[in-house]
Amino acid sequence: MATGGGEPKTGRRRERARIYYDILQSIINQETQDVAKITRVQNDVNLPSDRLREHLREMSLVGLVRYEETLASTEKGKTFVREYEKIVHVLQEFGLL
Amino acid sequence: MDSLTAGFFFFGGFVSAGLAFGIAYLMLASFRTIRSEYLLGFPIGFTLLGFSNAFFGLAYLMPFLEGVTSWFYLLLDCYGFAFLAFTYFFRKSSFTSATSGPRRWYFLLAISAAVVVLAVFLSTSFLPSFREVDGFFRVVNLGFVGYMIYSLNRALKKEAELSSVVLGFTFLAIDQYSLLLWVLDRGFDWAFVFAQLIRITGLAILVAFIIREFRRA
Repeated sequence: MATGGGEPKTGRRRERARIYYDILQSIINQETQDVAKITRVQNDVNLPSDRLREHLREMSLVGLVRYEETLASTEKGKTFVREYEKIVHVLQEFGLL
Repeated sequence: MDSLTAGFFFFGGFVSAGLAFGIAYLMLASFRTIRSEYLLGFPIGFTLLGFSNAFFGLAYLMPFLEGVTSWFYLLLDCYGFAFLAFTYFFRKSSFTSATSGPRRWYFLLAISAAVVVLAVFLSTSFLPSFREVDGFFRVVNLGFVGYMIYSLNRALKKEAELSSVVLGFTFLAIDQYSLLLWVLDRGFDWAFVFAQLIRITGLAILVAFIIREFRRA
């Protein structure tokens, strides 16, 4: 069973939490090699630039990312990713995702 | 009925209620993160099962209220399973792409549950004999749980090992089947006792699974 937020592609509109998860995953993956770049995040999560920036501002306000001159994940953001993956796994085991 | 047996059913009812409320609470946490409307049916369904089991226990604590509490137990049980089955239905149906589909259906289901429960609360005199409809509700519940297990197995078809969730729901199906046997033969008291034990076990398996997964590092 796939975990790690691996929801099947159903053609449904992504929920806000799923978008936050995808953005954070992209940032965390980039941070393992280098600093995170907004253009790569945009490619990874497949969002228009204006919507991505809007989401990043929201995520910054709730402390999930640091979005100033540079883009970086926070401890709260990493915790969110772990919690989200657990919830997705439970829902997948219940056959609900 | 002696006090020991009544105590067992009272205790069993409230333990089942606590477990069902626990699952509802944990699933509500999932819904709050992944705000897909169809997922709301799960916490609502388990909440109704919790109230149903609480009324079952209450019937043994306050036998003078048995007429009303037994009906609440029967109806809320059925509505609880209906919400759970509808969650699986909406999960795979085209309703999920429509923004207000599941919400509208859940709302209608909740309204009908409220109306029926209110009607029973006001008067039980217009209702048919409890014993006559008890079996019918068990068959309907078995249909709902059977659909849930079928949907779950289809969703988990790649899994080789036995899922705790399938096991938990299978126990809930056996619970309903045992109650049906007891309805058909009221002298078969062991089926009734067995149903309580198997229900607690099924709900406990589901709670243990969710807690274990949430605690996993």
